[in-house]
Amino acid sequence: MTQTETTSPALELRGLRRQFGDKVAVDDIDLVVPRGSFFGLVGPNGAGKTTSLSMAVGLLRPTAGRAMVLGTDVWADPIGAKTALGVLPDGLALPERLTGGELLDYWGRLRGMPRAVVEDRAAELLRILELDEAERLGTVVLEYSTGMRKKIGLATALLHSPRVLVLDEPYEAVDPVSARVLTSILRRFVAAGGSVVMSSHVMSLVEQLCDRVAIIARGQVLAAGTLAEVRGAGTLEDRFVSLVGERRLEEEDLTWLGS
Amino acid sequence: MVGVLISLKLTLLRHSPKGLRQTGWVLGALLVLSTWAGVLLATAGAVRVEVQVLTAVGWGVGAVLGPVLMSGAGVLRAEYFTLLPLDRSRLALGLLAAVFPSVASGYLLLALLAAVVPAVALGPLAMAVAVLGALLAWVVVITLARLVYAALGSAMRTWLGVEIAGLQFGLLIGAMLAGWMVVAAAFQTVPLLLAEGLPDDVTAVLAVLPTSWPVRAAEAVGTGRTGTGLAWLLALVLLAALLLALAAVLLRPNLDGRSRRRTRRPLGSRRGRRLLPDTALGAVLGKELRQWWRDPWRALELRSGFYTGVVFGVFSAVSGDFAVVAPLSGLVIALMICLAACNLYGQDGSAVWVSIVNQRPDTVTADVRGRQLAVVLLVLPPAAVVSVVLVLVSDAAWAWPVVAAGLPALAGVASGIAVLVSAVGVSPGVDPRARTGPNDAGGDMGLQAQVALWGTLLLVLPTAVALVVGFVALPGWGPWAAVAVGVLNGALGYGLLGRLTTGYLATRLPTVYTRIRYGRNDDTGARGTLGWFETSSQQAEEKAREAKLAERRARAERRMTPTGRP
Repeated sequence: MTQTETTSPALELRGLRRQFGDKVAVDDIDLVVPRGSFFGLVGPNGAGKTTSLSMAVGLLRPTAGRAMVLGTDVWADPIGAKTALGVLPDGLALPERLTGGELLDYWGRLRGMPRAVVEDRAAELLRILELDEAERLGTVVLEYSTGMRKKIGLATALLHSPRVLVLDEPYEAVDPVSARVLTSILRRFVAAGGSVVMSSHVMSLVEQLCDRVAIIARGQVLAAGTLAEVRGAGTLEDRFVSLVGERRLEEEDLTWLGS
Repeated sequence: MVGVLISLKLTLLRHSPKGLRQTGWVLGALLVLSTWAGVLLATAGAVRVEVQVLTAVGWGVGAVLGPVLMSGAGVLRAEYFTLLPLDRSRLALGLLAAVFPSVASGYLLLALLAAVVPAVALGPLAMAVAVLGALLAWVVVITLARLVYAALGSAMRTWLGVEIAGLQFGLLIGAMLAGWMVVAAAFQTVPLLLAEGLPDDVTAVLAVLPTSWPVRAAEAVGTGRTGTGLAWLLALVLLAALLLALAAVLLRPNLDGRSRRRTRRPLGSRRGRRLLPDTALGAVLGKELRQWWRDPWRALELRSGFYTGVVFGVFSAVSGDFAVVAPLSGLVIALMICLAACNLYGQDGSAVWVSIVNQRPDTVTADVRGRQLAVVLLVLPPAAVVSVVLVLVSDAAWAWPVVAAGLPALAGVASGIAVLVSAVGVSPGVDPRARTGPNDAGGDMGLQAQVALWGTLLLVLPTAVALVVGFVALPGWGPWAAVAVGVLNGALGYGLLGRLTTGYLATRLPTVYTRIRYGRNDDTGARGTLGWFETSSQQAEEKAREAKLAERRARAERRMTPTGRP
């Protein structure tokens, strides 16, 4: 392990920018996720969270700037960076006609993992995430519910035991019981020295889980730091609304509703 | 409601590429003109009726098959309206009514109205009956077409539906490849047809079909058998009513949802895991084989290729002059690999992200080779079986070396071209989870299909030349020497085209992802032919989006009042 690998942050974005034609989706953001942190990325719809994370994990080529995972540039040395990464994107397709078990098997072989290890871990992950019944019935991923898709996505992200997890809306549509399991898994992962970057709309969830947060809106980082630094005296939601701007419902708006 | 649905349909159509529609309009107009010309040019009255009846059947079949093959943005899906508080049967009829006002259905009506021509000689009453009959036949044909399309849409959930849709695509492509043989034979008989009419047994069959009823009714009324004439019209009314009643039931939004409870494990899930090599290539090969077996849209591609070969065989067999090439239908099946597999990345939707985040030194090579190998493994055996059977049945021993040289050459080259076109010309269709219609797995594939087809044919030329030389210039063993050329041709095509694809994708998996996920390509690194193809295949989609933006801007400007207030 090189010097940079042992001291550099889990994830580091430097001047990261993405334009779609004239539209600037991500506007030169800088962000540092220290090792061992549970980092929450919050922002309104269309703020640039998914675009930023896509560039950070090597899916979407940045217009400018760099993204580093444990000191390795994702775009200059993609293979090196991706070895340490586990990724759960939001709303993307999977090989839809495979069962959960087959997907994990495919994933493990792509990663060059030994067959016995893949089989053991896949069985364990399916059991813990309660996807084993679907596997027994031969349910293919296309037939999964939204919550089940999140869970199998998480299983793939965890399978190769990464050191940095990047999760886009991991709790969306997941039932409360599975959410608790997910929280336990992520907390154990962080306790063991791993780092988690997670995006979410749900302030209370981020407040409950994360030790560091960044608020992002209109493609820019409006605040970043430890949870205490960012939220100050109030709640994270108060701080978020004060930064992003509140849209109040005036007296005369929607008066017809329920009439 | 019908008015709203029609305007919604027209709005959707305005957002579809204009060039394609205009080509369709010109072709349709030419067909209408030749229909009328055929009916007018027929020499005798009885023959005129037969020609009209024959063309009307042609139009009917075309109208029923057309929407399946070319459904696009103009089709309103019943599922769009599931949540609206509308009566489902009324909505179904409203959706049907929205199909009628279109250029294509206008052409169909014009063509069916040719039934008036034979009625001219029989007087004004007969002409009126012919017009009324043509209108009724129009309703019958369009309703039937919509029903067939809807049935196929839901049939994509069943194997039988996939087979039928595959047969239809096979008919279309097979007709393109071998239709000229039949047309050539037909051309020799057109003057004969216009002068003497159809053989009696054919006339008898055609008379039974509903597209012939208008002219039957006019004939009966014109010759004083008013009761019989009205009976034909009544039959048309009843048929139209029956189809409309069916439409009210079948065109309703489907509320069953996608997933029925599984009763058995999917194909290939019990075995196979142990058989495949424990490598990235094994991973991709296993994944690809399962996707081909289990995904109806991929199965449709395979079936279409198979049926194209079968249709080619049938067409050439019945053409008389060209029957000699019928034993080579297996080669057509192998050739069709280049079309069946020319949008592999687009068919997978945004799933290419899996290969990106798991990238290792061998990932791209494994992905390309696994895809090539899977499609060759799936197509080559049936192509070989069909070839062997046809050569044996037609007792065409001369065809053995042609088949033995052609199959490996075509399979190798076509699989290479297909994976290259899949990567460079990726065309994202509807997201895999939202697919319903048979055309949902890709966007506008016109250019890609042309490049794949002609590229394959061009690159198997060495084998073709070797066979010709073997047959013409060498002694008896000559054609067999071409087999070595065919095998080498196939191996080189498989190897080099695959390597070209690997080289292209090595740094561009994220480019493919961006094209699928965001519908744009801002990586302009590729040069030469590949760069041209990448740009051209992307251009159609970019153009459509720009047109949409311009339209939106224009609309926003129109909304601004002259005083400048929004």
